[in-house]
Amino acid sequence: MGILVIGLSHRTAPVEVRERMAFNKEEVGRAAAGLAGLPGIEEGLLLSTCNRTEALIALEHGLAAEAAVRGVRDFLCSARAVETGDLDRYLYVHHGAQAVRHLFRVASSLDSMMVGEPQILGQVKEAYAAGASCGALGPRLEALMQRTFSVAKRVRTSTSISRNPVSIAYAAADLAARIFGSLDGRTVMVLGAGKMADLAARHLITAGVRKVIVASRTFHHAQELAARFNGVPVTIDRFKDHLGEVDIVIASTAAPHHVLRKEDGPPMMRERRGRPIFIIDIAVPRDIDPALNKLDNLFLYDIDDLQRVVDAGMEERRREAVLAEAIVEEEVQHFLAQERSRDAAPAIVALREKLHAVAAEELGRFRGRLGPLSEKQEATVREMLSSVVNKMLHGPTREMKRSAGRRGTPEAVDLVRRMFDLPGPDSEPASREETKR
Amino acid sequence: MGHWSGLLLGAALAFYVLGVAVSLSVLATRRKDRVSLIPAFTLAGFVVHFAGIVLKGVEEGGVPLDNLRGILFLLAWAAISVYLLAHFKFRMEVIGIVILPLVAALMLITMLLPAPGPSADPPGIPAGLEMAVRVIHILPAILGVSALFLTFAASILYLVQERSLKARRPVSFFLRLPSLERCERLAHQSLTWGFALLTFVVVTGVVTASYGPDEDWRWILREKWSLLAWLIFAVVLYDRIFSGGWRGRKAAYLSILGFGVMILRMVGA
Repeated sequence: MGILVIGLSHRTAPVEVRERMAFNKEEVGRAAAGLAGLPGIEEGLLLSTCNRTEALIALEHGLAAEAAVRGVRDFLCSARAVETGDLDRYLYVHHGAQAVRHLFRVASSLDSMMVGEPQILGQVKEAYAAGASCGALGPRLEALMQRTFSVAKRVRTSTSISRNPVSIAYAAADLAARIFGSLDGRTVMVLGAGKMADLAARHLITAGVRKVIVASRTFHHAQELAARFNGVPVTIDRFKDHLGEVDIVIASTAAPHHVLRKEDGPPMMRERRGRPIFIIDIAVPRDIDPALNKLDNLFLYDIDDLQRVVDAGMEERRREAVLAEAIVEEEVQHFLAQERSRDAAPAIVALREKLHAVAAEELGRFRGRLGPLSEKQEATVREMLSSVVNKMLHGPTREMKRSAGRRGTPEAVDLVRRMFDLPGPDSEPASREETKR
Repeated sequence: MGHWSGLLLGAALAFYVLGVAVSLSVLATRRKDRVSLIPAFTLAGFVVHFAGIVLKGVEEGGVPLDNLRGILFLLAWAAISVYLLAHFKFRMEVIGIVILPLVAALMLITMLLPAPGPSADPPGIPAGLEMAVRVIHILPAILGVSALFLTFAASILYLVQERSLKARRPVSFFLRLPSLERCERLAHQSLTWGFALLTFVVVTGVVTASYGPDEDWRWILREKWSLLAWLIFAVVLYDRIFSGGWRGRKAAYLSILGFGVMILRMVGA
């Protein structure tokens, strides 16, 4: 197949090395073109993110990989002004099936530092677009990249790998969405002006919350925080007046006792006419009486509850990653089988042509000895010969196709090539070369 | 039931059962990529089901509303159309997991019912009025109950989501349940429609009964279950409109109860 991945990532290289080897958006396309122009390499692509720099290349048919790998390494080093020797211990090289698997895993976010993070597919797509616009891609990488995108999409839609909360703030926003659906136009109240409250409020604002009320013991702290969110400051002793109008409460005061007690619950819910309220208590000691969770339509989470949600999210991601790996493996085998049957096709055609040519040649040689034939007889003789050839071809053709579809090297294809002295797989794509140049 | 319509309705049931099987396999294996098969099977069943009902009408020479089986087949079909509407319009995929088994069960029960016995309508209606009564009484009943299928499903989903949020134990993340807000809105909208239609059915029922020769109020006894369901729904709606904006858990339980009573009455248990 002649596909190689050469690169380094957070798994092999420390950040000092990764940052030196990073290419920016403008450079990536040119680098891809540079790769494709190296001797022995037909197509190239460069993926560069903060966690990895990888070259994806398609070799010229029949060339050994070693020289190309060295070429790519030297190219990357000279582009980043790094000593070649310094880089060697961080670099990995994947060949053929391994390279395909690696690419599928990277795009599906299985090789990411944070498994399931959604940015990587976009970055792969950007690398592809940059390479394509610089003419560095050919049919082989084009086919591989298209497949990569569809694999990544399949992983994302059929597993929930990128959907589970992995931080407290994200978990809070996720739970809020389970209660309210869209957070557009919701109101959040922040009790206390701590850092955690600030972070959680930020997340909710990103998710669509529009109005923020900030209550703090010291009014000017409330004013400060409120100014940051474009919100309304209130004094802490008045916060209960606003409980009827807010949807989400984030509590993180330093108060040593509950600021919202059990007996505050029923009047609050009455005023809300039963509308649900989501209360996030991230203060220690807790600000909200845990007994309030017994009220209908009131959902109270303390810091440990949120941490449990996060833990479960991580656990879920790990579980989903197993599923995702299975999907990737299935797709790798599928892709390889397709590649192999593509390899078998020229051999089958060559075999057909060869045998039919032999038949035609022999007919030409013996035709004179048959004497005059009517047109119908002539046609019958040709038909008979062609039918004999086709009958004999039937078995080998079937066997070659079957062998090509299986894992490993297509033995039957190679055997037939040798037996009938057919042109090898590497000298075949003369027409493809022509269209490319 | 004619041979061909029976075959088609059986095929429809088979498609629904396939849909249920896919739902179960999705829940068991957590492979989300099969989820799209559920509406696909349902849609296939929906088409075959409709063909079956039409054919049944042709075979029996008339709108298939004059016996319980015909009515229930039509009800199952209407419930499926409501589900498909919810699926394609509101993108609430999980609703199928609740509604499909219910419809499949309804179809199965209907098929096991004894062949058309005595007609199900109140006795003693003047013959000329018969068709008109069927249309203005039974059709809204079918539409109303099929809207209530949606109320039922939304209430179930509400309770599942509410319980898991309340327990502060993160629910399985692999199939996104609709938010509480969304379930609530869907349940309320469908209940409003269902209730309005049911009210109409009750009124036409009273009018029909008053035409009967026995002008006593025995129909109340016969229809006590329908009236009970109607009352339950009335309480839910009253609660939502007059005493609070949000229905919550109790209303969901009540809606499910009302739906159960309604369905039992329809199947004649």
